[in-house]
This record gives sequence, C-alpha cells and structure tokens, in this order.
Amino acid sequence: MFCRADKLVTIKILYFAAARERAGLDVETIELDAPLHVDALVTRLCEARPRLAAIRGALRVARNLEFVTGETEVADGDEIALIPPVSGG
Amino acid sequence: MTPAFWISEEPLLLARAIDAVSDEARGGLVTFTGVVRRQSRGKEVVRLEYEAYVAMAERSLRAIGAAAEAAFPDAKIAIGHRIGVLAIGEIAVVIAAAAAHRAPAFEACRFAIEELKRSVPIWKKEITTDGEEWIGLGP
Repeated sequence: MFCRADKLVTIKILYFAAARERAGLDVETIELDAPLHVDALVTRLCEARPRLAAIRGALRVARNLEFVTGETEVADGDEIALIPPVSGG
Repeated sequence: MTPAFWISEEPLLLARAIDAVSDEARGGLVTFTGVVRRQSRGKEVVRLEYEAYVAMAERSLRAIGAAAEAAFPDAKIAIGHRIGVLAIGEIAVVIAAAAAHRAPAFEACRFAIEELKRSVPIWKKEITTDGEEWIGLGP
C-alpha cells in the first residue's frame, strides 16, 4: 500500500525581505500530513520564530506567484511565499 | 526580442523601455525614472538594497502592463526594475508609456508606477547614517 506516502504534502516556502531576515532563512521545504489553510500554515511557520510572528499581521501570502487569502488551501507541490509590505520604485 | 518587463541586477537603460513601446502609431511617449535620493524622511541615505521575488514580480509587471493597455486607449507599457545594492543617484525603476496621444500616455505611465508601488513584490531596505529599515514595515 502507498497510502501513507500519497498523503504527504510537500510545500516550498520562500521568505523575502524582513520575513527572510526575521525567519533566518530564505527557503525551506516542509512536509505536511494533510492539506492546510494558508492561515494555519503561517501560524505554524511563526511558531518558535518570535521575530517573524511579530510582523505576522503585515504579511501577505502568495501561492504559486499569486496573492491568496488565509482561507486558501495549500496543496502538494505548492510554492508559498511570505510577502512583507512591498516597497518597490 | 527583449522583454518589455524585467527585473535586473544590472544598471537600467531607459532606452530599452522606450524601444519596447515606440512605434509609428504612437505619437505620445511618457517616461518615468525613479532615482535613489540622498535624503529620506530627514535622514542621510548611505545606500538602498532592493530585493524581489523575481518570478512573481515579473509576472506582476506584465499584469500591470496588460491592465494599462486595457484601460488607456492604444497604450503600450514597458517597465524595468533594478535589484541589489544601489548608490545615491542610481536608477531604481524605468517606465515608458506610449499611446497615440499624450493624455493616455501620461495616465498610463502614472498608473504603472502607482500600481508597481502598491502590488509588485519588490522591497527596499534603506541604509542611512542612523541605521537601516525595510521601507513599508518600520524598524
């Protein structure tokens, strides 16, 4: 049976700018037992990272290059990015 | 053909943006160049450090171009944004907007820079003589 392996959800997380500095890394791959909503994922990413958690309210999330809401479900193979307030130009 | 929307670690050339939008049907050409200032909010700037989510930023720039071209008659847009370490006086962003006439060209250019600042995943850290700060987030 391959059920257990099939259920694993592998997600790539990208951290940018202030989120990158506060998380202390720019990219990581995480595995989940089941799909998760964006809000719950961000909560998990902020665990044990108080400096990242401190700017949580300012973060937006992109899933596969598009902004998404907290209720969006992340799926296997997704690229999720934590986007602090943008300041280009 | 060089892309009309690009993120680059190399110095930007406004001519590239102009070339991307110019043609015989468009008699109005407006450009915007964003340059690193010496002073920011009363502080002395040492340098700026720009960072982008390049794949998403280039896609966002293309989306801004498509929105401008849909909103303003006959408009055509090109946008380049620099990333990396920039000194005072260096160019951070170039935009060219062309249209058949001047009014939509001006409006499309203004639309493009405002949308860029609002939505494109690019960040600048300002390093001043007082310290450093990610703009938009606070210290």
